[in-house]
Amino acid sequence: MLEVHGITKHFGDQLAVADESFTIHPGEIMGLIGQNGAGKTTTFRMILGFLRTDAGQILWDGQPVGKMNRDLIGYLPEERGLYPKLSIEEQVAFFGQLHGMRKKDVLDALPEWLERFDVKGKRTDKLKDLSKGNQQKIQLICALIFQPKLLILDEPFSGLDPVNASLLEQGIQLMKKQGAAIIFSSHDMSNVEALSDHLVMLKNGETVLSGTVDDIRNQFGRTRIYLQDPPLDEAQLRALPGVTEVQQHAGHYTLHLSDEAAGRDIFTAVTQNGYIAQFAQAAPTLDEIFRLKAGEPNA
Amino acid sequence: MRNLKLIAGQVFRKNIRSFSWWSLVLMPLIGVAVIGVIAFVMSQTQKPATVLVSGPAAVQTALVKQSSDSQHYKAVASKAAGEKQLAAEKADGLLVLASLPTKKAELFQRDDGQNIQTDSLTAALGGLNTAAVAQSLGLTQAQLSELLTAPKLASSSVTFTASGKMTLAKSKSEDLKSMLSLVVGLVMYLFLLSYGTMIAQEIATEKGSRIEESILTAMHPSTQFYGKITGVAGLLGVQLVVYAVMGGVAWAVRDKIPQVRDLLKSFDWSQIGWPFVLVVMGFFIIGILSYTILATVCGSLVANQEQAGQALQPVVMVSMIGYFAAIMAGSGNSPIIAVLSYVPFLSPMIMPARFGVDQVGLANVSVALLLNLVFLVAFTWLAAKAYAANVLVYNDSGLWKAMKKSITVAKAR
Repeated sequence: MLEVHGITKHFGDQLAVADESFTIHPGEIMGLIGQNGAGKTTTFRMILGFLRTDAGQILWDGQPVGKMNRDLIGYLPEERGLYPKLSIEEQVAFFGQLHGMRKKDVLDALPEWLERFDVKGKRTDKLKDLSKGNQQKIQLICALIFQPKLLILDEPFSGLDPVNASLLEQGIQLMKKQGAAIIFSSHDMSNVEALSDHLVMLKNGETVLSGTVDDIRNQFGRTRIYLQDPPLDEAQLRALPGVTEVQQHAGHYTLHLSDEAAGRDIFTAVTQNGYIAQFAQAAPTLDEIFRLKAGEPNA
Repeated sequence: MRNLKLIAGQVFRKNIRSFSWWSLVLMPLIGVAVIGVIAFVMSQTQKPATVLVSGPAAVQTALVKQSSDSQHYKAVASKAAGEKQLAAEKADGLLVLASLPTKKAELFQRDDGQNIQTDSLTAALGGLNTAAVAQSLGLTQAQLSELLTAPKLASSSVTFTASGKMTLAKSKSEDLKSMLSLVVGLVMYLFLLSYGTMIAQEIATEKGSRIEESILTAMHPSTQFYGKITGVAGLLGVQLVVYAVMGGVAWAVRDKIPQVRDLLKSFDWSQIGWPFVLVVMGFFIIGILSYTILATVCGSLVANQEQAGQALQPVVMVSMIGYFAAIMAGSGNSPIIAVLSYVPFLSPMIMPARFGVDQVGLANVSVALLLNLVFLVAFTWLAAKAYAANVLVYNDSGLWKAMKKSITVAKAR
């Protein structure tokens, strides 16, 4: 279990992370979100021991994380890097061995991993000859093949197409099933929403959101109504009581409410003629919450 | 220890399979081979000069007897006969003298002919003329021999102890030793630049590609640092073994291959001795390792591969001072050079050169070696700490600013 208690970090006069806390149990995934420069990578670097905290504690199974067996840590950095002149198997064997695996075990396990991530190419191909997406998958295999207990993924989805992003999601879920504590950052809120058991949002180093995705969304109330082909036009919708904003896109409308209680009257109004294709009342999406929080002035 | 071995093995294997490392190792041997081939081709293609001699029979007989591999003398009946042969390109020169003793002799050389050694010809004519003059003066053979004998010059080299006492040096005329020490200086300069470039580029590439962060997840930066240095030390060891094996093979087959025999015979190996070999080797190993460590630290300061050249600047500058000081040491002792020969980084190049020209004895060399060894240990320890602070710092604004940022990070770690 990873426990982060009130960690703070300054670079000179600049505050990078302030009083950040969270806990990740084995088999849990935590999403760390925030704009560029919010303090996500600094958090990762402190967990990895690349940087010392100014205050607070980071514990693994109750012990300072610095004492943790580093063979158990898997890390995928934000910027991708490999040895271009090495072959796939040489590269993966190197990282597997760095984390305590025998070379033979790495090479035995490699075909399954290549298949799992649908890597195009032979294991003897040099990395420089692979496509960018396949290189990214090899780097991910390097971080996963030794089955880490603590997995840190910095922007793992960046640059991946939807098919490969889905393969990556499956890989992360597999690690979760095997009991790894996983922390990842992403700018794509759909990935965060799909994967995270809970999340932390940082803004200029400060924690502005923390909790499960549902809890966080519910904090904002069910203040969004999604409609498809309603019998009212945009002006009529805007005139309904409790509606503060209407967004329209190709027959779909999103109503912003000042109070979720207004939903019942709106339902009655839009179904006065009977059937409509869609009426859904929900909390704002994570993406909306992210933009909302990112746009708020600092506390 | 497992990861240290892994990193060392990776550095070792990657380079030992590379063309550039083998080019580096074989460079001195290729150099020697090229010189040997050029010398061999020249010896095969250069014909001896043929000089026709027109003059008294005694002179002709005496000069023909003095023919050598590089210059042949051939008697001709007359100047006209000689000119005819010269025109037909059957000879390179024609020597004409009317009588002996004489004060005048003429040599006609073809423009396109082989080069005639006029010094040896003048010396030969001088001897013949002196003998003829002595004969006309009625001197006996013994008197003539006495007249022609030059005094022997006995030369010995001396050194002075700290108290000013003069002692005979073991052997002077140690041209080979002084030449070798300068050659070792040059070779070491080339090697340390090559090893420095190799390691600085490797680190800059790892930093630039951010693979460094993935590696350092599994180990402390100092483990990676010591692994890299161990890998380079392994390469250096293999390099020395390659030279030893090649030297051994050359020695074993020296009598079977005339070119090798002639090359080895051209040096007086008795001048060298084991102390000199060990001193050169000791400084060679310490020197290469010191500079490799310096290059490693400098390499860790830059942000990417494009800046690897920048990282090498301090290495190049310091090594150049050492190399030029080593050359200056050969032309005489000076207090500055004497002091510099004990300074780490400079000592490995200057001290063997000073030892080669007998400016210092084994005692001074041993002190310098010990100083360098102690420095190397301390420097390695400090460098590992600097590497740990630098290796995850990215700064594009040059070495100096990167160093300042590293110090900030080192405090923050």
